Amino acid sequence: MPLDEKTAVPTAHDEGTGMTDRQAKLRFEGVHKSFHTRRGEVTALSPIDLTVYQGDFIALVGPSGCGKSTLLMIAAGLEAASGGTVLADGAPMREPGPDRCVVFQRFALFPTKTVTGNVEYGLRMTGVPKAERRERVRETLGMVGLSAFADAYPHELSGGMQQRAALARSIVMRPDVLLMDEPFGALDAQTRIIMQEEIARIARDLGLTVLLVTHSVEEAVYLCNRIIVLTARPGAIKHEFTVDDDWSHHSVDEAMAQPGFGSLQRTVWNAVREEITSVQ
Amino acid sequence: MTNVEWRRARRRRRVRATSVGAASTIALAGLWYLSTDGLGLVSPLFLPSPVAVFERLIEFTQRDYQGATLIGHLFASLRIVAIGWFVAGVIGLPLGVAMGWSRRVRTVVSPVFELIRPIPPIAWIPLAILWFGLGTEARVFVVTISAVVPWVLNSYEAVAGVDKLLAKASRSLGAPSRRTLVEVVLPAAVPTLVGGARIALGNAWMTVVAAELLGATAGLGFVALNARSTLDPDIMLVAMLLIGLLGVVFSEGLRLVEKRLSGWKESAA
Repeated sequence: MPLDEKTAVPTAHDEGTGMTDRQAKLRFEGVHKSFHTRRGEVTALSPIDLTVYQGDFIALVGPSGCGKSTLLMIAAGLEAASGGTVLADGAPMREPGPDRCVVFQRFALFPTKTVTGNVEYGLRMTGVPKAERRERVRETLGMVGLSAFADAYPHELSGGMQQRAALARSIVMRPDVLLMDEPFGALDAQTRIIMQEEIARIARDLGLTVLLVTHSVEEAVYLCNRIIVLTARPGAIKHEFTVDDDWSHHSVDEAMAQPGFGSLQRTVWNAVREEITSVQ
Repeated sequence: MTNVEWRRARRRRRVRATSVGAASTIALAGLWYLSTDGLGLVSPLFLPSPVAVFERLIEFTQRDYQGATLIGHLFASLRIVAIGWFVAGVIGLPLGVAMGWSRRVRTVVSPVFELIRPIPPIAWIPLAILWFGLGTEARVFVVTISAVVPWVLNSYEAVAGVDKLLAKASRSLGAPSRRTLVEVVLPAAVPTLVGGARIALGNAWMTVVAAELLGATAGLGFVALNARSTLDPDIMLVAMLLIGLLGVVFSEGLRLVEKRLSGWKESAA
């Protein structure tokens, strides 16, 4: 579907200056979404233009209900856009697929399968031979620190370990873009910090490209190189911040102690706050 | 509380529940005995004593009543129930699963199903006679009807009740829709599916007695009905007690299967 120029809203942000030589992994062109309700049509997302480049770690932040999760689900192919195009690796996509795996807030591990069964699932569905599957599962479980729990069922694991398993299930597929929908939202505060540091390490080691939906500005500043702030419903891109320092080399508490971290966090938060207070 | 303590407490609770249950059953039997043989309050033609019923049961295992021993009548009923339950499962299980999985199937099937659901199985007897006459087929038909509703409903609810996020996760990992159903949704639905099988078997068993009104010449329901016309309340109660006992055996048996197949679930507290 060609991009309808009239619906494409020019965005205020500078889209990745100096990054254009990198490969575009995911591109939203005028993607918008509206719902039919009893009170008529409700626009959830204004047309969004956004390009995710190879190696990007992008956060989508914004007030509740601004449509950031919807945008992620559209990218995953699990929800249909009302218009616009999503290009995955240059080609328009319609179906969900393992090139755009999702890590969900509620983990969504398959309860009847062991950790190995869960991590192996996508490989099995895409026809990877058994010997290669076993090797890749072993390696990935090692990477997330779950080697000792290969035969455990999800309900036998703590929340943090369940999220490790869910992460392993996605990264074993080596997705072009890893989509994360508030992946730490269901974890307690201590576990969340440990998992943020783990994600940072794994993303660096594997050179992952990530699109992350989060409520936490702190998390966005710590993990990401680009932070997209969305407006209140209907969601549109309000501003894009570029994170110049790579904080993810530090631990979370070290990073937070740096003056640059705090000032960026405040700047981004003020942008988010404006949107939250605009509707209240 | 440690795991061991918790288990001990659970065992104590279970032992207590079992002993209270046993005590109430024995008390009822005692009351029955007192009002019949014990104090002679009611005539044995109105309610025979437990001793007479038990003696009759033993005798029935060896001597024919209306053409067959206890075992013969038992198998006559069991055969009808087994066929009806199985046929109902072959129809109801896939239908319920399809309704739970596909909105299109649900839209087409639901109105018809909702209309049929409230009709009690016994109300199908006239139609069964019209279609099949008085015979085994008519009885199987009525039993099938009684079992098909819980098969469909529970299979539907089993599939519809599986967290939608699991199917999304599966699609996102590259599984097509049908494999998602087979690999993720159905395994998670198994405990509820077996629950449906259990309720269907219970319904079938209760209905077989009514179905044996339809020109049966053997079966526990036939024995109970026949005992009334031959003024033989001993054997009537033997048949009724056996119907009750077997109902419990079926139900508890399938409950065990249900538990076995839910090993991946958190153990119920």
